[in-house]
Amino acid sequence: MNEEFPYLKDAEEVVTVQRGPEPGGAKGAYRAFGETLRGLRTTMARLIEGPMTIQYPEEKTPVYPRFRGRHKLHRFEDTGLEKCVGCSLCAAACPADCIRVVAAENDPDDRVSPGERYAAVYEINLARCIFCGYCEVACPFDAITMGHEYELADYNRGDLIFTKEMLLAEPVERTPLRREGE
Amino acid sequence: MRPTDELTAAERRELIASMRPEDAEGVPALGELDVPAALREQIETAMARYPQLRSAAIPALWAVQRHYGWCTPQGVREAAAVMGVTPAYLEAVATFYDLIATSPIGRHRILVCHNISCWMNGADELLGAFCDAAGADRDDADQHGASSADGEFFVKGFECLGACDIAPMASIDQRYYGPLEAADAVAAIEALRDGEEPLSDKALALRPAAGGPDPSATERAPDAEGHDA
Amino acid sequence: MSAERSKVTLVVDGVEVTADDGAMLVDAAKEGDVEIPVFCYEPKLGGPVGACRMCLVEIEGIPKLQTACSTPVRDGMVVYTRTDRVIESQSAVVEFLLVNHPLDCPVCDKGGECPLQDIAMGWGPGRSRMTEPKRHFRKPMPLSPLVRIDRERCILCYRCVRFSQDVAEDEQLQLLERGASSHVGTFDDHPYIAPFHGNIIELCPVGALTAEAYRFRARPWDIEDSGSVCTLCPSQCNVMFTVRDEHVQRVLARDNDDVDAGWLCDKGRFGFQMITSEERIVEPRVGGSRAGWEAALDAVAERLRSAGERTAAIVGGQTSNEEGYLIQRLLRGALGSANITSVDELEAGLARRLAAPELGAAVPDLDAAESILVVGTDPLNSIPILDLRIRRAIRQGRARLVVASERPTALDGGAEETARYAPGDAAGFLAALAAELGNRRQAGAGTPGRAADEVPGDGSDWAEGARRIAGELRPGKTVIVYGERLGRGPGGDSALASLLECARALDLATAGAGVIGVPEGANGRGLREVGCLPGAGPGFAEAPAGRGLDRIKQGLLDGELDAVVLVHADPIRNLPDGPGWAEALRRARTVIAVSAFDDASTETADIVFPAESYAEKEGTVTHPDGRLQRLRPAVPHPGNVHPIWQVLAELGARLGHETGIGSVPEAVATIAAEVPFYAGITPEEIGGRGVRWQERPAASAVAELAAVPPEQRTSRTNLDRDDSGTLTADRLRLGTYPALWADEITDRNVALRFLAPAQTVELAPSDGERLGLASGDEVEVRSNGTGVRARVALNERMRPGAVFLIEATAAENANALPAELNVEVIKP
Repeated sequence: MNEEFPYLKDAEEVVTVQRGPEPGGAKGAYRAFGETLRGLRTTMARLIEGPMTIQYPEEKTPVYPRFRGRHKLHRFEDTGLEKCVGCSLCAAACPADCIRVVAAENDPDDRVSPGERYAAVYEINLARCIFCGYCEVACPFDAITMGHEYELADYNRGDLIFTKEMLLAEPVERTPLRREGE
Repeated sequence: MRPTDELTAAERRELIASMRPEDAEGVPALGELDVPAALREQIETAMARYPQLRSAAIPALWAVQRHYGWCTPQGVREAAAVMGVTPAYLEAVATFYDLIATSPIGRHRILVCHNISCWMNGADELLGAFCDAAGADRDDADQHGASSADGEFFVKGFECLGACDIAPMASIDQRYYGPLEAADAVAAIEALRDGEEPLSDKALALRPAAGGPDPSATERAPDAEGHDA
Repeated sequence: MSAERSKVTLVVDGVEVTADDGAMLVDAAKEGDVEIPVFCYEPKLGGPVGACRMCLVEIEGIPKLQTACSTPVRDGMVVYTRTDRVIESQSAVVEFLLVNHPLDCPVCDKGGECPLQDIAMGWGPGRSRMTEPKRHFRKPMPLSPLVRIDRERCILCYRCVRFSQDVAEDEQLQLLERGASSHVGTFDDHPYIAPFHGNIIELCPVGALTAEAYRFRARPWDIEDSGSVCTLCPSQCNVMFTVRDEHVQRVLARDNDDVDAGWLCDKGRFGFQMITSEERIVEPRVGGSRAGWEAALDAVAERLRSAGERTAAIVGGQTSNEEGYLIQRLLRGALGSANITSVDELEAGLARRLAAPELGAAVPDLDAAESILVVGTDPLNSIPILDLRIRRAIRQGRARLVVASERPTALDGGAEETARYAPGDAAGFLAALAAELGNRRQAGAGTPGRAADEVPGDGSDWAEGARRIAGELRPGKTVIVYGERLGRGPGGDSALASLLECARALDLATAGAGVIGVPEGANGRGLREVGCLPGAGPGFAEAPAGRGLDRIKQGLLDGELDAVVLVHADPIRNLPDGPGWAEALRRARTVIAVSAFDDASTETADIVFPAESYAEKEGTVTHPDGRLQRLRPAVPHPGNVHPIWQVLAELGARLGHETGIGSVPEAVATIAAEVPFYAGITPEEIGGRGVRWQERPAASAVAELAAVPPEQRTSRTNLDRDDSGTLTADRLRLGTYPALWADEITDRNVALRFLAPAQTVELAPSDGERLGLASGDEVEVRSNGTGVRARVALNERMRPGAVFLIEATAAENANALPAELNVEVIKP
């Protein structure tokens, strides 16, 4: 039984720390105000620096090249065919279950993509998307990549379901890209 | 990805629309086919010879080939009707064997052995000579066999025919001849064109066997089955 | 069977495993949680072939690697499945298989559920050394209008060819060519169309064979599987619906060896399109215009109240037990009418005796039977999956098949003996057979009988046929598969009575033997057992006599009946004398139809309720062998469709007959309480595999079932048939038969429409010659001034003097002819 802490069952639970002698004078003052002064210095430095606020939406934060924003679907540059074959692997990889693919059969007379299959419906529900980028990793044809667009707010949840046409369209590049070393 | 050789949607629809349930080839009804009596008799003879009905498949296909020159779909169907099997079963057998033709071939069949013994003795030149003389495509002859434009000859480079002792050799209408030279090819083709017997001096069947009777004295007649000598 | 097998112990990868003696190593290893990869091994297809070499394992004491799929286990065997040698051979095999495989998994329909993917991942070398060009074939070609073949993906496992050769026995699909050019194909590029050919899609371990209807529809992670039972025919195969976006996209077999042995017919496999058809009725209609449920129910209640006991109901085969029970309760309880019947009506006493539990055979009994008698039915047309089952029984060499029928059947080729009797002569033939069998029983097997000769009528050849048939049947070890159609028509009752006599003479009331009746409707047996039978209530209980089909028609024509309720029934198309039915329904004051589609009968209906499809239904059905099976809803009801049981219960309530049934389990419980031999059955007990009521303890409670004296017959009006119809030279006797593809299901499924047969009249070649007809001629089959146009097909196996027409075709329906035995075939 520990006499100092009687509510503890076992004396071994108590660790006693040996403190040094109490400082006095200047040292004592430093201990009391040192950290405060250091904080004040940062504050003062920022005061001199001027405002750092970015005037969004007039000004936009640049993003890193690997920033994962709104998805893009791609076409082959030479043939103009869609790269996506509707294999649904992105839907399988998606942890938020926000991708819906309905595939269909290509007609060689009127091709949408190379091969037998194309995505007749390709929808991403951006209200659900967590921008993890797994879809991009899963895609065997580099047909889907994550763009830099992050301005995705809308008035309707329904409008956040992006269709294949929206994802294929060349997005308006509104987001500045952070340059090397920036 | 490589664009594949696909049917267009319209072609596919057309193909599917053309498929009728009655097109499926089950066992053809014998009553609905006009099987030539001679062909039917040959097939039935073959069927009677084996305890297992299906053993008669190859003799039946031979009979069809003899009758029609090659295993025509109609002929295969007739054989299937006589045997009571599906034509698909006979086609599976026919396509397995090189000596059963499932597409039209020339009337005289010339198989030039190009396995090692014959090849070392000039089989390639011999095959070329036969092709030139008959007017058949040399490259095709090497692969799947080639027929002459007039439909008289079918020339094919063949794997071992099992007659290394007479290399380089060829089988002409199921008779072995060898050893042959390029000039023999021309002579053989000419003889066949004239309806004569080719290269009688080089025929394996006509060579005297040690101690045996002179085979040239006996009448030459293909055996009933038309097997190789 | 398997329980009687002795057990052996072996060691697989260090794990001690106990398995049945004679089991194959690959199955035994599963007991020890060791998976051996296989491609060609598929027990459903028969014995192992050891063709793909994927399953090679090392067995101690055997120097070479052995195929686990074809090596039976031995006691004390020590097996290694992951040694270096095995791994090397497995990667070599996978590498070989992939040499010509296009590896187009992202576009391939099999991707995600592909055994080749799984095995390449699990046992493959992981990287390819293949730099050479691969073998190319023309890309997915239609093999039939329902199946596409992509030969590039084929790994030549031979499964589809084995199915065609050894299971369906149609031999249309073959492996053509040799070596590197081997490919699966048909004769001369003809399509492969056969009643069961859809099964090859499910068998294919790669994406080489794909369903036209399911191409690119969904990935395994997009779908939900929902197990149920197909109620498109009496086979009641267990199926798995593949559901995506609340639509059925595909139907797969849900293996249940007691019912279907893992196969489906093409009707079951591809007949799902009608569920989502645009043409479906999805709202109640009163007087031809849309109505809400309240208005429709009120209208029906009012009309039925005024019709009262002058109401009749006809229940079709797709109706579930619960619906059948509720409709008979509606009539008997709420309206006091006894006029309730199904398309599979039998005389009540006969129905009781035929349902006797000791007499009923189970489907697996066919496998062990020594002889099988198929009589009065062609299983391929009426219960397709039994056709495969009987073929398997013969192939395995245990059973001898005999066929007695009026029309040639698909099974004739495998039969030891066949007997053909003339249409309408079934009763005479069966009487001769019963006499012959009874005689043999008395005299001891093997002695030829004499009594058969004494059967009256022009039975000289019946006696001869009966003798041949009887000679093949083994007493106590025979299963009789009979068509319940035998009970139709004037001689029907005596035909079935003779059948029962045959069964008695053959001692079929023993285990492993018995009879299986093939009904017309999918749930024909269940409907009779829950009381949709004039003269017998639920469980064949005594009930006031009611009108059967013919008397309902007569009653409607005479004005003795006011209202008729049709549940899943289209009498104009599907019952004999369609024009008579059309007239009867037109004259009826009220016609209430429950139907999923508009048909000739709903056109006459005053009130139409939309019907559920089988994928939406919840309830139970009874297999022809007495197995209760559960229907589980796979997709929601479209539009404003309500469950039929709910509608019927609600109608009862409005008519003042509260059933107290508020859910399907409650309905099942009520049925279980009322049908003595279903006593205590619950949906949980039925489960996914079903349960035969004959095998439950409650079955013993109905030992008296067969003891009910046969004179308790409800009177059935005989049709005005020329009963004395003997075969004369200028008159031909007409028989009709239900062809597999001649029904509404074929017409409602776009993919199956090409299979719908045009009306064909079958004749024996001798009759054809006499009448100057050849196959393909257009003729008219005339009887009493009505005619049906048909194309001639001469069939060598037909009995001279008989002609056959197909029932229920979309046009030129044989049911349009009056019920008359004798017809003329005229060239127009």
